[in-house]
Amino acid sequence: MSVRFRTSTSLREKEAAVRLRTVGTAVMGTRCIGRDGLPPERPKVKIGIESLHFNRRRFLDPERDAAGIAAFCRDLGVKHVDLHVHSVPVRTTPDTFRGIDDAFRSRGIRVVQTAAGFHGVNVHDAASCDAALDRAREHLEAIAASTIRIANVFPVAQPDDREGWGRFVEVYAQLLEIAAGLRLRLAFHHRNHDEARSLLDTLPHAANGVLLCLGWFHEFDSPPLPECIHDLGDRIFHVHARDPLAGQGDQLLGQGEVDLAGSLAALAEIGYEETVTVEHTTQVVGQVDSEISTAWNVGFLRGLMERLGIEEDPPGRD
Amino acid sequence: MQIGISTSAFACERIEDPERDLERFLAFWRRLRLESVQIELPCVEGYSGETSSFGRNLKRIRNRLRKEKIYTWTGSALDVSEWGAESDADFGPRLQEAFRLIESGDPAGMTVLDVTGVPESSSPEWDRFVGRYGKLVEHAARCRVKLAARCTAATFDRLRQQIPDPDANGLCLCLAACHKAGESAADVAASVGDLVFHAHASDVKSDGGEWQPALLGRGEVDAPRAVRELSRRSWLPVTVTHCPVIAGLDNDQAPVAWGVAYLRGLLPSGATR
Repeated sequence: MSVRFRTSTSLREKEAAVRLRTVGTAVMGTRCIGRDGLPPERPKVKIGIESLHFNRRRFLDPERDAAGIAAFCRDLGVKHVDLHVHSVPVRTTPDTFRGIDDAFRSRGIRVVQTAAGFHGVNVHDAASCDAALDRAREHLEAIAASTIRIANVFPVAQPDDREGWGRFVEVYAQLLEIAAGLRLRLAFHHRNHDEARSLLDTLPHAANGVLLCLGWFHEFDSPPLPECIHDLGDRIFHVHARDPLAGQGDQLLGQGEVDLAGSLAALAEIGYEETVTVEHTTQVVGQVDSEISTAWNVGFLRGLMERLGIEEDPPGRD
Repeated sequence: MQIGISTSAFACERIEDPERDLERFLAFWRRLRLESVQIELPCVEGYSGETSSFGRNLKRIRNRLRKEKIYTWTGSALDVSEWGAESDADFGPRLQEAFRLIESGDPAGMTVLDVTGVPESSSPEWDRFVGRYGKLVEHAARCRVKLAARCTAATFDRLRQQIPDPDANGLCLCLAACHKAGESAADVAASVGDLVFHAHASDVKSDGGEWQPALLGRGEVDAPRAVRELSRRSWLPVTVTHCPVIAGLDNDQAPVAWGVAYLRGLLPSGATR
């Protein structure tokens, strides 16, 4: 494990600002570099919210269930949704994801990722692994019938369980092949940088990427987040913006310990083009269904991006 | 700057017992880690009735706010829209009423009293209004209460030229109202400087010729520039207000939370207190 290196908030902000001033110069990501003598493009980041926010139901009736959250997204200026595993019906059909995706797209919202359906696996049991792969194949085929192109996977084994991890790697290599054959990419929800780097190095497959959960990376002893982001680079397929505080769980963004300014700046520097989704909302007095904390979290990201000179993609102004 | 919200954000429609009636509002306020409060004065028991009970209630509010370590609160608002038109006979009691409001606010620690209904400086009633407003400013200065006039920058420019009192005669700079008047909020903040006694962090967009409130930073106001300018003043109360309705919600707590968070994200840590 790496030793976590902590710096003060103000120092981190200064560092982020200094780094961002260099965006547009060489070495910092091609899409930010000025070309043909034109001023450099402002870096862009997409903001998304989780489908559970403002709607705790599974999407059994996509038109009905997408309508409320799409209206909420519209009023917040958000154009991207992360379809949470708990929003997906327990029994999926080949049309499940296309139906949900269509319901959102007809309302101007893009579903950017969802769960790959690879869970409930005992990596020490070959039959369990085979069954999980079969289930995941069906699930991924249904996802591939929609416009969703990223599917996430949660850990089913830990690297310190050498045998289990070895089995998992073998199975995951097969899952990557299935995903690639369907033109999908898998974003693995690693706990920290070391585990992410290890799996990327072991399986250097084009479909193998990272769901960078800023909360987990912070909590599970990663190096400073900007360093992680620069190291993982274009292997980052999705980002979860969270801000936990030691011993107190998730906080509203900006009230925890995570270096959000440095992380956003680093994402801009590497030319990250996917979505930053706000998730794990917290309780606020008066809140019925995450609406206040979601509005806070999106508003905080918007303000922070404005401070760092990062544009929202597509532009979020009314 | 000291970011705050209005009691109207939590539907505090009647404040009779501050311990009870402000409880949920203050829980929300704490969660958002704010620094100031705008009290809607007409909601305070006794506002339109007997003065001494209003004063007592304001002091109870002050005591409740101090438990939260809130030392900056603004009163909203004294309406002066009739002041330029009324006869002297009608105006006398009204001025006394305004004096009493200020006198109640002073011992209750009211930092700033917003003034609404200030006529345009080009209106025919302007001269009469200014004569009367000058008396109010004098009284406010004696009571150590700052008056923040909600008006355009052009109108305030005349107001401060004719009543030059830097301690009591200031501007309530509403970013959205400023934009609607064709002014740049950032330029106004820079030119009016320390005479901005209160600011409303708000945004607005034009929708088919009609102005509609917008989430802070989502509308037409150059909020980042204006806010950066305002943030130079550490004592300045900035209230997130005039928020749009969000689909499916029956209150404005979510857009208010957005506005506060937008300011927190926009400003480096340490820019507010």
